[in-house]
Amino acid sequence: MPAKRLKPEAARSAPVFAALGDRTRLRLVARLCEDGPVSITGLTSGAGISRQAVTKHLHVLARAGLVRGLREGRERLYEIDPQRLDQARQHLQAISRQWDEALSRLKESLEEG
Amino acid sequence: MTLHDSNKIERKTLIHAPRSRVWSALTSAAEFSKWFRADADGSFAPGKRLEMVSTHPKSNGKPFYVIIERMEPEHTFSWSWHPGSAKRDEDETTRVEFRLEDAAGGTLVTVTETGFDGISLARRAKAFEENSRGWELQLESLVRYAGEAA
Repeated sequence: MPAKRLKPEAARSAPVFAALGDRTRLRLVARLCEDGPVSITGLTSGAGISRQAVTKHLHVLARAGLVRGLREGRERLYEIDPQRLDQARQHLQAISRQWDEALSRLKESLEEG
Repeated sequence: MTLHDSNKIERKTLIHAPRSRVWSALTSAAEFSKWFRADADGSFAPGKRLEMVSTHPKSNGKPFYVIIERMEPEHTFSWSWHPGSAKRDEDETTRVEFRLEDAAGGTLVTVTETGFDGISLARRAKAFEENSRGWELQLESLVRYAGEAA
C-alpha cells in the first residue's frame, strides 16, 4: 500500500474507483442517484442479492465517501454524497481536455502539409 | 459521462490523412515530440521503456516515462505510463491505446486511457492543474507589477 507517499487529497480519493469497480455497487450507486434516499429494504428488493450483501456493499461505498446513511424513523436510509463523485468527474474532465488538445495538435500537424 | 465510464477516457478524431501518415506521426519519436510536446530518449519499440521530458508550456521540463506495449503497424499503438511522476512505480500506471481505422476522407483515430484507480487519477489531473495554477499566479503577479509600474 503506497498511501504513505501520497498527498492527503490523493489518498482520500483512492478508494472511489475501487468502490465503483464492482457491478453490484455501481448498480446501487446508479439507483441512489436516480431515486434519492432509499432504505436497505428498498435497495434489496429487485437487486437479486441478500440484505446482508447490500449492507456490506453500502459500507464499502460509505467508506469511500460515496454514500452516507441517514436515520429516518426506524429505518436507515442511504443517499449519495455527491462531492466525491464530482471530484472524480472533474479529474477525468481535466484529463479528457488534455487528450482533446493533444489530438487536435496531431490533426493539425498532419493536415497542414 | 455515465458511471460506467468513470475509470475510462475515450476520445476520437477524424484526420484527413492516410493511415500510414498517421501511424508515422504517432510512432516516430521526432514527429511524436512535436504534437505530443514531449522529447523521448530513443525510438519507439514494443517493450521499450522511454524516458520523456515534457515540452508542453503547462508542464515544461517535467520528466516522466512510458513503457511501449503494442505496436501493430497502422492499427494499434499502446503504452503504459504514470504521468505526474518520474518514479518507476508500475502499480499505478494507466494504459493508453491508439486505434486507427479507415474512414471516409481519412483516418479515424480513437484514443482510450484506462486503469484509473483514484490515486493515478488525482495525481494525473493535478500534474497539469498545479502547473497551470502556477502560470496563472505568475501572470497575475506580472500584471500587478506592470500596473504598479505604470
